[in-house]
Amino acid sequence: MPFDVVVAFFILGVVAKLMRAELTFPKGLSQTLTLFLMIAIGLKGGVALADHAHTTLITQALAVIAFGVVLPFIAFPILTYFGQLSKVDAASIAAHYGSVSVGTYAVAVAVLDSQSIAYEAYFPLFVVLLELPAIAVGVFLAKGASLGSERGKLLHEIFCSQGVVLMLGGLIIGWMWGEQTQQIMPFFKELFHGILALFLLDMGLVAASRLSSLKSTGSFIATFGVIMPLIGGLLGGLLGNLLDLSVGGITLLAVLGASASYIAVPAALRVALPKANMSLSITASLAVTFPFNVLVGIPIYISYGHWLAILG
Amino acid sequence: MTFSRPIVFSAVVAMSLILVGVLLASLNVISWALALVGVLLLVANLFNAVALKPSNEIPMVSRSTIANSAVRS
Repeated sequence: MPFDVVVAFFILGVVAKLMRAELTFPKGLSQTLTLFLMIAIGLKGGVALADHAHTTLITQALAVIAFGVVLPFIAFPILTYFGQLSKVDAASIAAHYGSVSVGTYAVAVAVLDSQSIAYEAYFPLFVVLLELPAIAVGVFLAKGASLGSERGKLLHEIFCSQGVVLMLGGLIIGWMWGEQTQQIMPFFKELFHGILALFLLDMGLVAASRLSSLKSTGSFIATFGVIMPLIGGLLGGLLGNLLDLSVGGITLLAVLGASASYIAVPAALRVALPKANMSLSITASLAVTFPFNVLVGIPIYISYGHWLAILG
Repeated sequence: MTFSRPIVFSAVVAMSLILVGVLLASLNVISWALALVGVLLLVANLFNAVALKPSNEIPMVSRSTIANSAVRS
């Protein structure tokens, strides 16, 4: 089949919404699915970190943080010059695209697993590291270095977002408890693909419901939602190759570069940039970039990963 | 006829995606999907361009002003 089985559930969600089928997820369930995926990814990465911790990881982590800083600086001029957006809106969207989507990462991992493509299992560490810098850069692009009284609130939103707390928490628990996590791993490991399928069904419904917003945001936002993931994916793949990662690792770094946040960044930027039009960034990341990455992007990044690995 | 910068940018990106998708189609099936995305963006951009109207077309306010001044003279 052209798509992975979990991706088929995303398509089902989109089709169901477009057909106006009576299908809604309780808000609590959507939240639970996200929490499960974050803890599962964090735990798995933590256990791998305990087994594979080495000094090159520090270099890789620093390079990944630098990557997270650079991405908004690439997106910002595209949004201001070609999109003619205001500085605040452009900075807000740039921050979303510098950060990552845990959902896209989870789909990429599932696709790599189903195709038996090996990847560095400590990658969740990079997911957490990429969540943070883009928010700070986005605020800097909009306001410069002056934050005033909002600094404390913003730092709280950045470091206490559910993504950072759960994934970093899962990483630390997995790393410190190592083998002992086997007691709880059947729950988080065996159910992972099933929960991901439900999560994608929900995301399909959400993405399809956001499609109508594209009429008001204009075609530039749709174009940006496609071209920015390709730029981020291209650079992520190159960085992965430079860091000597495996084919799966190159693919995952491309996926992280290509994905856009829709959970952590909106929450933080509502505090830091209250004047930013969040509808633009959420529509771009949820209605365009997430479906593009899940349906078209991930297979392209896998082929790109293979191609880079052959080139060496 | 001149179009706004976002419209031109979107059209160029859409056509580039179509070109890259078609060129890479012999290597990878998914490239067709990339070309299809380009086509969808191009269509969306056309609708957007029609909705916004090119900038050399005389706006309705100007038309009525011209008509009024013609009547007065």
